[in-house]
Amino acid sequence: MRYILAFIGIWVSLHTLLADNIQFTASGPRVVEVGEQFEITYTINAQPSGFRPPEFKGFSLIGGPSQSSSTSIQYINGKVTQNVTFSYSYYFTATKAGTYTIDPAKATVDGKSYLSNSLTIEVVASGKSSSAASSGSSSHAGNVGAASGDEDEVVAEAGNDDIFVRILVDKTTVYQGEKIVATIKLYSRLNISSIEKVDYPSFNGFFRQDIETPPLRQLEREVINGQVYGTGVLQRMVLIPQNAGQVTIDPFSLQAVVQVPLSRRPRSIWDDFWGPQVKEIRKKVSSKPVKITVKALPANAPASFKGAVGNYTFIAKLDKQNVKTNDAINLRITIAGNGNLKVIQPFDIKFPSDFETYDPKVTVNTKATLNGIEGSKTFEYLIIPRHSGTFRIPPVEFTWFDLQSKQYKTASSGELVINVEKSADEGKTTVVQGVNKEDVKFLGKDIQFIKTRNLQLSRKNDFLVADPLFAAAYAIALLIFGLFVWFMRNHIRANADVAKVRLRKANKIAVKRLQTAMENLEAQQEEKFYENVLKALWGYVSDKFNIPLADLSRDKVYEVAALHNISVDIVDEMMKILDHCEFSRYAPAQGSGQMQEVYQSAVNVISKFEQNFKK
Amino acid sequence: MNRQIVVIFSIILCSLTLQNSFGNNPQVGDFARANQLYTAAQYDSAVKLYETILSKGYESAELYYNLGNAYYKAGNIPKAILNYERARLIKPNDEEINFNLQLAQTMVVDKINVLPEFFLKRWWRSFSYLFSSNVWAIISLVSFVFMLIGIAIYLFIATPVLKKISFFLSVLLLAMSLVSLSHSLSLKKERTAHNTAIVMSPTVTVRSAPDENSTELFVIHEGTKVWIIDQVGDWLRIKIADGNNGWMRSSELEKI
Repeated sequence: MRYILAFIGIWVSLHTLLADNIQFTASGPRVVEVGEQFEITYTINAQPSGFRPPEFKGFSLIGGPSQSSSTSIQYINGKVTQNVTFSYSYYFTATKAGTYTIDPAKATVDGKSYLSNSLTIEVVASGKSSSAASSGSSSHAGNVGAASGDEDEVVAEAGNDDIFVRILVDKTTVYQGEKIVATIKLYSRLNISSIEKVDYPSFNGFFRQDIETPPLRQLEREVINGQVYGTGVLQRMVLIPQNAGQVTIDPFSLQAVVQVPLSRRPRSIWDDFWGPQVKEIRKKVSSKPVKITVKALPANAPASFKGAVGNYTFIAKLDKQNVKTNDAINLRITIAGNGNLKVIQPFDIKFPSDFETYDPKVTVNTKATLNGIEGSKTFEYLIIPRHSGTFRIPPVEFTWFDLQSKQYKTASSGELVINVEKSADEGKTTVVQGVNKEDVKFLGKDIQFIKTRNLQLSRKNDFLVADPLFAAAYAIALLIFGLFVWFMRNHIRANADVAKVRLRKANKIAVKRLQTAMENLEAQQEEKFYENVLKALWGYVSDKFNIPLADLSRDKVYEVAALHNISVDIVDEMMKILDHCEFSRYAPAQGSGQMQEVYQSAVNVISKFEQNFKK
Repeated sequence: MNRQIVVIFSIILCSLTLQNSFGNNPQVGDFARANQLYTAAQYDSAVKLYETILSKGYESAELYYNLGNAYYKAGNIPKAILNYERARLIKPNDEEINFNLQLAQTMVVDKINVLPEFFLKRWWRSFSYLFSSNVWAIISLVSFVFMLIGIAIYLFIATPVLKKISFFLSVLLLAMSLVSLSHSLSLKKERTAHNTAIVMSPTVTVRSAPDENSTELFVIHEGTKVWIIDQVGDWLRIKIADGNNGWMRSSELEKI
């Protein structure tokens, strides 16, 4: 507070001492009606040595110039400052409709000339009711209730044209998410004492943010349909439609206390002195509903589009890229610009699954202005790597609908790389000893991939076991087996018969021949006896060892007998018998006793052969 | 002599089976193309192409498996289960087929407590799943041939040790031949009987009799496997894994 006062003191003293910064202004209404009285005032903050007004064309001067001056002396921090204001007022009546420019007035201060600003005043034709709106003030007019009890009084009414409110929008066709600037404006041709019961509509289907609007103090004058109205902005706001389609803004309403002039015939000259008689009435006014057409956004939206509309810049940055394990990293995503920032949701970032992640901290900083909602939205993701390595975060993408180009635009952060080094205390924090073991984390479950190798196809229902050929194969195998057995049997018979039969029959033939020899013995046919014994023995050897008679010799018998493991003694004995028989054949008459003996020894030899013969 | 016969015989046999399984390569090109479509994530087109190959009368465990995958990716879980089941009939011990089938089954609504099978039966069954029907058939035939060889050795070779060995081997081979043959036949029966099915309608009410007005017994949902035990007209008597049974229309399921 002290500083402010000091500042004001310095500022004022600068003005008075230097007298350099002289303010010389002209003020007056912008719009007047024909026949209306008005005032033009020239104000100067120094004592002028001369003042020359301009020519006032188009108006008739009623009074003035009335001069007034005021002086204020201030003591601030022991300093004395003096403030002087001089003003010159002129009173006019407008006579003719049109637009008039009043040239600047000229004042002389300390020998220097100063020019005021020029004024432009629009004079419009008078309306049906004589309005007495003084130069733009909603402050309380003093003349209330002077006519009370007067029987000539006419009940006053405030017509619908006299006071109304409107919701003005800057466009009626917008894209979903595009901003609309709405202005709630009050129009009045009557003095307004106070405003009560302001009723804002619900603005269903819109996101609404109010633009800071100064409180309504003074009504501006404006011409609407040839009538002069005092107008004032009650509230400005930014509306953002949430859904496509026809949306209606419901009426805005307020109740105002207005001063209605009482029309009656003039009775005394004092009437004019007191000014027109007025009555205060309450009037409720509401705006008309406003229809807004909301177009849907084009359908070709990329996957990363989440509803942002406007004009943005997108920055995604890691505060550090080289960290040690267990160091916290901040990923800061800032979206700045103009548009529906509030709908932007946190990003779904695919951090490496080994990282510890937290929900993002969201900071919104927006301000509603006539240009829409401006500001920024920041998402801060805190991540903590728990293991060392190089990790990649896939690009973060932000897509918005750009209203200028009517296209989707995408900004990407690019791949974010984090190098994590092993910190000295890795592992110590979690376990006391050994390796920090973890279960393998399954991130998702999916079917295994198709088979791409050994592509083979077979006919449906191709079963070998059902094939008649299969059953036939068994039969064929059996048949082949049977044939084989039969063949083998025949073959063996063919090969083995001669030798085997001879072997088997060797003894029998020998016995038969010996029997013949026996008959010869009984018949005393000596020569034939010896001959048959010889035949029996040689025949037996030939059959037994399968030696043809032609090859038969004593040496051969020894040889073959050795092969069959028959001892030489037996063969010697046989040879002795053979020798004896051959000798006796050619020198007979030995007697039947001798023959008996030979016969017996021949049988013995054969039986010995039989016993020792091995196959 | 008899060795030569065996060799010739087995060569004929092998060439017969080889000819059956590899003699139809034009469809393999389509198969590879369908796999490419799958890899390019065009699952609907892949499904169409796989089905075309099937409609031409060809099949294989790989084909059914890939088709099941394509259906799974296209979001058709009951069809995926159906094709995984068909693939599993051909290759019962394939890890990937069983994994994907299990995963697909987790998406089925019905939770049914499966009745445990008698352990001997289970062992016998898993033993039979070691080979396909055709391989079992070949094993049976080959062991039969060797058995005959064993008998021949027994008959015509005199050495007592060889005689003994060949006798016991022959008995063993005969048993093996018979077991293999029975496996081959039972596997063939399993695949051709079509007595299991997958429910295709989102929900089916199972009734107590083949009649629209009979008592409602229970409700099952798409993807559930059922066993068909009887048929009357277009009504099927089905049994679910927990042993409950009832009647439903055949149009609401598809046989495996």
